[in-house]
Amino acid sequence: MQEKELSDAVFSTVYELQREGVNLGPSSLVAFNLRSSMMTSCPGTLILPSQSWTTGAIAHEVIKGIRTNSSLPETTFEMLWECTKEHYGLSAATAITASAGIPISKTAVGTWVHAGSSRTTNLASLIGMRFFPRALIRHPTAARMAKATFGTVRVFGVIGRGIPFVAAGLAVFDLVSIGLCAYEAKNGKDR
Amino acid sequence: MEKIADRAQLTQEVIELFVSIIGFIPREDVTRTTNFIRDFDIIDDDLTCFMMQVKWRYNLKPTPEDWARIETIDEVIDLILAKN
Repeated sequence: MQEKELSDAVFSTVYELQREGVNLGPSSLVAFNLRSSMMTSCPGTLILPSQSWTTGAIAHEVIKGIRTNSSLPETTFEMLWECTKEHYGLSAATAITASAGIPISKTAVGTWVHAGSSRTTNLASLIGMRFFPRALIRHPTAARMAKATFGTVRVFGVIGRGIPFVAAGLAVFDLVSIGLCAYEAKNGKDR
Repeated sequence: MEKIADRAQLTQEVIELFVSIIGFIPREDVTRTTNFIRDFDIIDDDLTCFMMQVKWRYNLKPTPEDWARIETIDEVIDLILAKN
């Protein structure tokens, strides 16, 4: 079984995508995002399509995770966003976010469809199925949270539940963090 | 006899594949009669990932009707053996 620590899974995902011609930005930014998320422990950061996205105009805004016992300055998130804009470029982030979440007919792309299952998937899920089927969240706490919140411990399974609201390049760990927030909110902090 | 051995080996392969992709199900909980639709609480995306890996690994070209009737490991094996 190919299990990976979350950071390993994130970086192998980034490198694999780079080899396939999908550039998610420099490794230093990914490392920064990971460190930032780990430092802040619980809160997540989402890059969401702004409201104008629904009318056809593409723009993004950063939504901050909620936390109750912060000891770190809020500027962490501003720094993250500034770094994101600088290294990814808004257009790159836009393309990734917009295309990754577009519903794709399972029948059209020949994927498994069963009675009662969803008729659509998305690009992020397809990439995960094709290239990273065994990229699992191994960290026990994160895996337990991911299973309880998202019903899966596959890294791309988690991403697939979040798209189209999460930029694939940024959110592998952030989404887990958000899920941890939700899990703790539902089940209590000390688990 | 060889066919039976092939089927047993294939069953082990498919079970290993299933366990490795789903990630949270112990190997000992899965048998050839396991109904992966009903026996476990598995999200659609994970099941799709498993079935797509079966398709790609064994070069299958199942029809939508083939997909729709498969619910157990045994039925996956039947599909593989039928197409090869």
